[in-house]
Order: sequence, then structure tokens, then C-alpha cells
Amino acid sequence: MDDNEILDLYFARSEQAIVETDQKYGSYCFHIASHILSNPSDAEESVNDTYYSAWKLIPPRRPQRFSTFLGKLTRNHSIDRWRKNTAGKRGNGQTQLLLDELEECVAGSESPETDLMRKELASALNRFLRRLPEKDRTVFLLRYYYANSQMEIAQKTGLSSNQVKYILQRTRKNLAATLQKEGLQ
Amino acid sequence: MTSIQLLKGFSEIDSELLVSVEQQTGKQKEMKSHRGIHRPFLLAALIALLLMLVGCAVIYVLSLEQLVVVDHTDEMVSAFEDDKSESFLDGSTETLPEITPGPFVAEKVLSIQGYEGSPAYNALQEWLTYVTDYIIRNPEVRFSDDFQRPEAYTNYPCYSQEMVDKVDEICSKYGLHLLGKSLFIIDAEGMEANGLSDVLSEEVAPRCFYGHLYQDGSFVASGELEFSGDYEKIVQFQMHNIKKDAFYTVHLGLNNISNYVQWNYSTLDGYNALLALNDQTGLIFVENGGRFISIIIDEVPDSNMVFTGFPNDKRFLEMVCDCFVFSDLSNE
Repeated sequence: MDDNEILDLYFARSEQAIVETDQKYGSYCFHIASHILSNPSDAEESVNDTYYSAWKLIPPRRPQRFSTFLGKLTRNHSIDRWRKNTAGKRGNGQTQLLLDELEECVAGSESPETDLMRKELASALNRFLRRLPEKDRTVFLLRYYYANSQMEIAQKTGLSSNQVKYILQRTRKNLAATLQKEGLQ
Repeated sequence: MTSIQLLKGFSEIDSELLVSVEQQTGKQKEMKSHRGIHRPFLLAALIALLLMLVGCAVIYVLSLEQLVVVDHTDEMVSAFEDDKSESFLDGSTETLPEITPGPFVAEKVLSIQGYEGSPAYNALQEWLTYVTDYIIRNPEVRFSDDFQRPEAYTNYPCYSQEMVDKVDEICSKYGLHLLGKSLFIIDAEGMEANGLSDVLSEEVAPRCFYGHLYQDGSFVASGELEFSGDYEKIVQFQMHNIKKDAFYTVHLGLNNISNYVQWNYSTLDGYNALLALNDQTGLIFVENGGRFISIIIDEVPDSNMVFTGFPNDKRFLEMVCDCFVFSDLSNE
């Protein structure tokens, strides 16, 4: 079913919207969630949370690109769930690796997660990513947005694992400098 | 700011950047299947001719070259051509680490469904040629929502009815069948329940064991194996265990085949295997009665994300190979 038709179902408050969303994007959302959460049932729960959020947000929102809208919701729910599951203890799996890698980009002190801070961070990240060569941006987003392993990135881009590792190291270093310069570190 | 706040921050990036990632990874697939087909395998032909001439039975030596379906070697572009020196935003510069400039796309595309001349190999080669040409003619088709793949074709990258028809044409031409629906198996219990844990010998306990089972009985099994003793290493494996008469379009991109040490090895259950190893990847190919089995082995980095590389020792990959069972599951 076409995305617009699915969105029409949401606007009509038809529960068929969830069925169609699951059919078309269920595996895509599960793929994102399962890279962040090592437990498959947690990943399933995150996907369900995604559908619930989509149901609450549409209407009034009508996403221009439904796939990335769902992807972002799934990603946020998965990170929140991972955070909840590992509260007070060191986590494991791919997400812990991502966080360990990103440690070098941030000062590490907990700052209040205000709307303003989120917006500033989002625009800084967008500016930073737009300046990157396409290849580096692709590798960086496959790692830190889609939570792909270095091996998966190598397979998807045709680069060697060492090249992927190097691009990630270099881009993290650049990101740290950017965040510091913009007072966001 | 903490790393988790930063990680969550990535969720707010613009959709068009994400679409660009999809396009880039899609383009990579396209580039892999684009370009000239490596046609004459003169060496293989010469060997075959010599065998016919001398009329004697010689064990045929398997090699990676017999799996190459597309060769890009003459058209490669260095990925790091413009990156000879690196300056950072804070004004500092850094000398590049010792990395051999490498190609951005894989030099060679290898069949993981059969050796040169087999119906599955020929079918893959025809499909890749067709897809390349089709995508060039219809570049927008991959990002269109207009076409819903019929259920029986969900495992094939078809973006239009014309592509579905091509799948049927190839199946009919080479006597192959469709894979059918696939079942995603998320854990070791599921793998065991579906009989797929039989691909590992009894003493082996894989981690993160999961896979896909196709309706026709072909399957993909993935997981991690931990070794101790002489070779203290954790490796990830992905086994494609595909029926020879199935049409399977997944393929393998490889750079620098010449960097691989290749040799033939007799598996514990008596099959002739092709093994190939470099410092980053191990490859195992086994053909049994009804199936073609390919196993791709990669290193799992340590907790500091450091790759120490595979040992330059054939025995290491033979030890990994001995963890698998290659008997034919076709009739089970």
C-alpha cells in the first residue's frame, strides 16, 4: 500500500493503519530496534511503541517521508528502552559499543535534556553531517544512526573493515572538535 | 553532554541525509553489479582441455577465481585518493595511519551459489547483468512506492513487474525454483527447533545464533564462535546454505583476491572444501550433493574495538571449518 494511503488510514482513525504499517515497515523497524537492543522481545516491544507513537502523532502530523519518521521513532524508543534496562549498570551489546565510541566526542557531564539543547544539538549535527564527504557521512550514519556493526558497514559500502574503522575514528575526532567549538560538548 | 544524549541526538537529523545513506548503499550494490562481465576464464578452460586431452582422472582444484561473476578490477577508483593528509576543524593535522589506499567498490563479485558453469552461477550472472542495465534505464525505480512485490518474490530485489518477469524467465531458463517465503529465526532455540543447529558440530556452542529459513529449505545461519588455546579469537560467521536448484541473488564483493591464501581442504565429513584466508576475512566453500555452502568469517573486535587480525596460519581456518557439518540436508 502506498504511504499516502496508509497515512489516510491514520487520519481516518482506522486501526488498519497499524496493520498496514506493520506489513510494510515492520521488518525495517525491527531491524533498527534489534541493532540497538540485543533482546529480540525488547526489540519487538520498541516496534510496538513505535506504532503507538505513530498513532498518537498522526494526525495532526503528516510525515513527508513515512519510513524515516518511523525509523526515528523506533530508534528513540529503542535507546530509551536500552537505557531503562541498563540503568545503574554497564550495559552490553552494540549500543554500549556505540556509547563507548561516542565518549570521546563529549565532555561526559550530564546536562539537562532541554528542548533547546536538543534543537541546538540537532542543528549542529545536521551542519556537521552536511559538511562531510558523502562516503564518510554514509559510514558515520550507518554506525551511529542505524547502529550497524563495522563488518556490516564494510559489506554495505565495499570498504574494508580497517577503512571503516579509520573513517569512524577520524569523523568522531572532527565531531568532537565541532561540538567543542559550538559549546555543546 | 553525555554520549547517550549525543546518540539520541542522531535521531533528530534531517530525513534527506538518511535517504542519502539509503541511496549510497543502494548505489554501492548497483556499482557492484554494474560494469563489464569477466567472460573468459582461460585458465579454467585450459585446465579442462588438458584434462580431456590426457584423459586421466585428476582431482579438480577449486579456487576463488571460479566463483567470480563480475570483475571490476580495471575500473577501480581509490577511495582515499583525496585524503592524503587530514586537517581537523580545530586546526590540527594528523598523518594518516598506515592504511593501504583501497577501492570504494568491490573489485570482484563472487557467486555464493555455485562454481562457474553451474546453473545457479549462470543465473546469477545473467541477473546481475540484467539488473545493472535495468537500473541504468530506470534509476528512479528503486525509490518508488508504486510497486508491491508479489509474496513469492519478496526475497528478490524486484522493483517492477518487468523485474519479476525476468526472475521467472531466469528460473525457467536454468531450471531453478524460487526460494519461497522466508522465516526469520531470532535465537538459538529457534535455530534448533528448525533443525538448523545441525550445521554446527555438537561440541560447538555458538553465540548470537540466528538466521533465515526459506520455504524451499535453503537457509542462512549467522553467529559467533569463540576459540581459546592456540588461536584465542572470537569470529562471526555467516553461512549461506543454498539448494543448488534455487534461484538466489545474494552475492559476495571482494577486494584483492590475490591477498587471499587459497587451498583445498577435506572437511571432517569428507567434502572437498575451498578455503581462503587473509588477515581480515576467512572464506569456506563446500559443495555437497544438493547444496552449495558458503561461509564468511570475520573477526569480532575486542572490548576496545581493536581488530588484531587473523593469524597467518591455514590451520586457523581449518579449525573454524571443522566446527561445521556439511552433510546434505536436502532430504530432511
